[in-house]
Amino acid sequence: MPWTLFDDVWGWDPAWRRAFSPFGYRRTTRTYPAINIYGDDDKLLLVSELPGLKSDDLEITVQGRTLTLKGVKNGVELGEGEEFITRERGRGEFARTLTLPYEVEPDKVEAHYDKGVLKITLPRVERDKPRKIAIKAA
Amino acid sequence: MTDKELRGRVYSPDLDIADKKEAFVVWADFPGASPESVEINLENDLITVRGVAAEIDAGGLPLLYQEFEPGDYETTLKLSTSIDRDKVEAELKDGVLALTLPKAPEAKPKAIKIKAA
Repeated sequence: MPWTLFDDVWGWDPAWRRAFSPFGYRRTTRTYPAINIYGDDDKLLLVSELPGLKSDDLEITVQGRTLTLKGVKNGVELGEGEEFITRERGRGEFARTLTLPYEVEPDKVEAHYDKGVLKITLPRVERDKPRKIAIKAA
Repeated sequence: MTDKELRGRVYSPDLDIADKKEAFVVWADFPGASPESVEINLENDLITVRGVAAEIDAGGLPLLYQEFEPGDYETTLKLSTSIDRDKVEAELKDGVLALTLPKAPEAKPKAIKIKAA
């Protein structure tokens, strides 16, 4: 009876565990992955938390003002005779399409993945950048 | 402020827990945390794991749109005496913490041999 062992070992009750961390927020985002965007008139920086991702499992496409993040979050795999007691971490395929505030240069887009955090730098296309217009003196 | 001090928002991460015969393994998402920032405390029958996520370096760019608030992580689990406390191990990779809690010898399943009459 694994559940008996389980109870024995963990005194398990998710509510109990939460109760132990009264200040522990839980991330409840409807969309995965959650994204933050930083930027100015020249470039954008997209930051997303994607822990446990392998770079081969992520596809980033940029076209004009549209950015698509597509990938698979593979869950932990267990061997024979091993079993999950609890499985709360999300897994599966995900895809997000965002409309950026301006057109970006697809060839100059750079993505870095470190410590489970994805960062994508998106430079604005030159022709789209705001210009100051000098007024000629009469 | 040391790099192990929790600041601001503290998240209770989602967990996967597996029974791997010889050990229990707990996985928790700690994106942005570095191994130096993770602290594991065993006190009586409670194990507390904390991690501090690095601040997001946006190179001075202002925040335009926000779906998540970077924060730190903390979770507490209750253990029984059937864990070999001296052999608890932790590994942090790609923002995922894996905590291995080896079972104490008495908690491992044993095959009972039946003696021939």
